[in-house]
Amino acid sequence: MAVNPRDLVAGIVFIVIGAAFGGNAWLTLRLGEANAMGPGYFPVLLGLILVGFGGAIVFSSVGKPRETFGIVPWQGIALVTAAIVFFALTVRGLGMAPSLGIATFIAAQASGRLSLPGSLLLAVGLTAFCVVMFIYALRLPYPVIGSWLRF
Amino acid sequence: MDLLSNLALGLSTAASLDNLFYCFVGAAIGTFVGVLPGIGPTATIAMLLPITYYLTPTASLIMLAGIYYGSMYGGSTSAILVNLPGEVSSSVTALDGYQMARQGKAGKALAIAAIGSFVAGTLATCVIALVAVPMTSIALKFGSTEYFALILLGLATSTALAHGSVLKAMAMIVTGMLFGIVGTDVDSGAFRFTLSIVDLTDGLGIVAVALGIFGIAEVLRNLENMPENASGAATITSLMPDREDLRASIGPILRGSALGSILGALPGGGSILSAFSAYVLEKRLSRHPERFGKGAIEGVAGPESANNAGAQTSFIPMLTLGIPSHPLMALMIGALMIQGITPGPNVVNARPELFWGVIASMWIGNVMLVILNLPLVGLWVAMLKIPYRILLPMIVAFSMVGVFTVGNSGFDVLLLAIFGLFGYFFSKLGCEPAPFLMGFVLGALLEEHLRRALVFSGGDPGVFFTEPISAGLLLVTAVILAIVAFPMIARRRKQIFSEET
Repeated sequence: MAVNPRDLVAGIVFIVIGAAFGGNAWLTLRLGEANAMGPGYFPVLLGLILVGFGGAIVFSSVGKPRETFGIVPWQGIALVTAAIVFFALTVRGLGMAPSLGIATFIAAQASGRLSLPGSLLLAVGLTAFCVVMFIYALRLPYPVIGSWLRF
Repeated sequence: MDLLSNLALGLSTAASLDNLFYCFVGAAIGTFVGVLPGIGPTATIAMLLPITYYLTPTASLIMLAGIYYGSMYGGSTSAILVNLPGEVSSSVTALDGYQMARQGKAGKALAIAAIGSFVAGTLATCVIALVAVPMTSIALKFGSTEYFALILLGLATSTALAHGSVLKAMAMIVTGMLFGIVGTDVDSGAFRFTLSIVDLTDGLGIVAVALGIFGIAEVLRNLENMPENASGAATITSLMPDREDLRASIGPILRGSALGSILGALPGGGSILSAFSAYVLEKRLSRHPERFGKGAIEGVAGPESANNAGAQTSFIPMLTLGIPSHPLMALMIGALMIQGITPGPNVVNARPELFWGVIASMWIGNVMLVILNLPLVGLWVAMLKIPYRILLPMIVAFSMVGVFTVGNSGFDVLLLAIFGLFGYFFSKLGCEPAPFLMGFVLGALLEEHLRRALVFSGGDPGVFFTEPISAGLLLVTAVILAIVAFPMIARRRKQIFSEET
């Protein structure tokens, strides 16, 4: 029997999300009554509705033409994510300039079409622009060089 | 004469040097991102939200509004010249606009698009000025019951306009609502879904979530298939349309403005629906429908006017009711909330200079855009040559810094990465980010009004059907959902949306 994998997975994901939120609310939050709703009332309601929608999407996936997921640029995705996570974890310790510079350099590799000198130039230029704009022009109280690099 | 004094107040606010400057900045940035494929106004506004923190509320809203309607102008430029619609709503313009460019009439198409947008912008500004005050006086009479119904109506229309499966769009709304109520419950003080993480007790930051699912997810999607940059841009010869062109366009421009003004003001409406409907209307009315798609000037004038009018009148529900009609307006509400202003019917009376200043700035912004877009069109064409491989690290860098500075928190930057992956994952499953963000913004509001309405009715849900206004709104909601679910119309809807890709 033909099943559209995109719809099938989407439906299952919605059921899981609905069950997780709804179940969590049911177990840990007070439900209350309709005329005096507790914190759990609305989330449980939403969870049930979402499970229902998920079920309907799974049901509708049967007998539809197959759709593929298309290509997934794993390497690029990993690099973009790595750049953001690096910035999140180091912006305080390293300071705005080094953290943003390195993160931008990592992100510049994601397309795989930017040369090494090109990426370096872009990283330095963008960092300089952001530092001038946010720290000198808008006077945000962030150190340009963080505490990790001060001896 | 109240209207005139209000408009005078607005004009004097908007014409202050500071506000003129931010209006210009907004219009210029808007044109820039509108021209560039691969980055839209929603992501741009999310990126610039942190900066608005340092402006006055009026200046920030003026700038953000400028970005929105500026992107409508910019989107049409790249649609006409290189057949790469920078914005979804310009994809209609590409149908005939690019054909005109190929016939050597690029300048005429650009001029008609700009003139149409300007006329539409002027008319839409008048519509907002006329409609807003009566709307707010109605809105002030609304109780929680009516608001609940109104929010449901807005959510229903936004699913009707989502591309792809309606079921998935509705599921995305509910998912968005669940993520939207993460944090501390205002009513009881209970922590909901905070996973014992302190940073989550204030809820998920709208900037991180919006930039993740619109900005970063879009970047990841573009990695699959890097947007080309304009190599074969059509050359622009004469910018002046002749009398024949103007005569052919005047009808479509006026009809497009009217249609766009109405459709834009609907909850869930906005520029995209307006542009498509205007194109279909012009094709119907034309004595030579076969010319459409082959460079008919009416096919540029109508949709361009409509999308600009729709973009502007979609401020009406946001400014008067405090309810966003699409994700971009949700971000505007976010911008006002950052400033400590709760959008709603009270804004007109409490902050008249903000309200009328923004409206008047739209008209001023439209004048600036005509100047920015016609004589300076060459500049934007040059911008089109920026390759995406350079744009990509820029988008990532500005998103990171923006999210960090708005919340002063590394945790929010992690959320940016998480919601970027989240948005990409769902787009792979054929689920759109727009309904998610609508649910995210409106979830807590819907809960609050549901709670209050049911407290007053003693827990009886029947109150939504016995109160006349809410019953009427719910009836419209039901009709819209029925129309969307009805197979024949669903097919027709698919047909309209497929013309866009």
